[in-house]
Amino acid sequence: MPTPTYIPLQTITLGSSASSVTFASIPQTYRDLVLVMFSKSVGSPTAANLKIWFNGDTGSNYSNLRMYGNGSSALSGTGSTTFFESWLDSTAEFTATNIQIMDYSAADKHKTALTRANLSSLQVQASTHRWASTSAISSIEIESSDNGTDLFAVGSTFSLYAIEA
Amino acid sequence: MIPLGILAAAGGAVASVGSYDLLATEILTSSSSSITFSSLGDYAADYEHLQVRMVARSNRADTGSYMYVQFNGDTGSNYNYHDLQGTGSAVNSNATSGSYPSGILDKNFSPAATDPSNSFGVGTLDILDPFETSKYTTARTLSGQSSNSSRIGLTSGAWRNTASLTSITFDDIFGSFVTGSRFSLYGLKASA
Repeated sequence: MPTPTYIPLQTITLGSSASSVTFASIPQTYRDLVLVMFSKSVGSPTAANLKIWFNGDTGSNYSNLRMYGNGSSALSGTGSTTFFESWLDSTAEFTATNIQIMDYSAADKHKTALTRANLSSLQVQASTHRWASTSAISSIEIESSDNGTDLFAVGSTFSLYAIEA
Repeated sequence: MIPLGILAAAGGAVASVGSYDLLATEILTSSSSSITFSSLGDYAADYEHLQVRMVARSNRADTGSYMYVQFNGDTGSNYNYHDLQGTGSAVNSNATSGSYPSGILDKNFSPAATDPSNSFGVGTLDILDPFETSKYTTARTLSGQSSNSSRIGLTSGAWRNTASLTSITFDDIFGSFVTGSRFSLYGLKASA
């Protein structure tokens, strides 16, 4: 029997700039999460980092791999300081990011995700990510930088959806 | 938002309630070399596109395994594919110049026995117009794993046949998908 899914859980639209956004008390009754972000930064650098942590864990439990094109080269790199790393622009353009977090509520798997992120002034990116924990994800913290000096701009939106399986 | 994986990343309007339906899920309780969704013709009247969301790991004694996606049980040389793959240090592209045997090849999806415990690969497979009989069945994936054999990849492929889709098979080429691997089938409705 077909089951309608892709359930909107919460949308946050910033009315004032903020250094971070948190989705808390995420229900455990679904299988996958989809996080859709359309965001930019305010701050002195023209490009700031966008980073994500789960359940308040800022330890060395993350790995990520990205493939990106910047208009002149196709590149690939890895990271280990956060679940997700991408760029935000502080001039005019918003970064469009879609993160598919699979089996977020499962207790028998590390949490793995796929991302497509576009910042048309800088790069287009596809990436994968792993949080080396079997804990179910109950909260997601999204930060605009790693030094606290950059903020998400007014109008940045963050939407969280859930998918059944 | 259009729920198809790559389209979704481009943004767009929010999907209306009920436009994206869960049709079936297979969660392995024991290892299996293949998983098949069958009787897909039952969905032809109500759905325009299909998506499969995948979480899997192989028991292959190596870092990573490859997977074939096969349609209607056809294991002949009736497929082709292209991919773009990031390895962490380089970006590669692979393709077939002509027909490819046994299925659409996804090389980025599945970690295996020598990868960290509990690490699984993930992917989304979009199949566009699978019930049309005037088009080759065409699909694309975004898949990856962050493990010892980390990879991220975009794949497109086609089954050179215009038959309406009746089944999808996922075949672990070098081993078996382990317990807990999950494949979920979704339908994207056509407009009334």
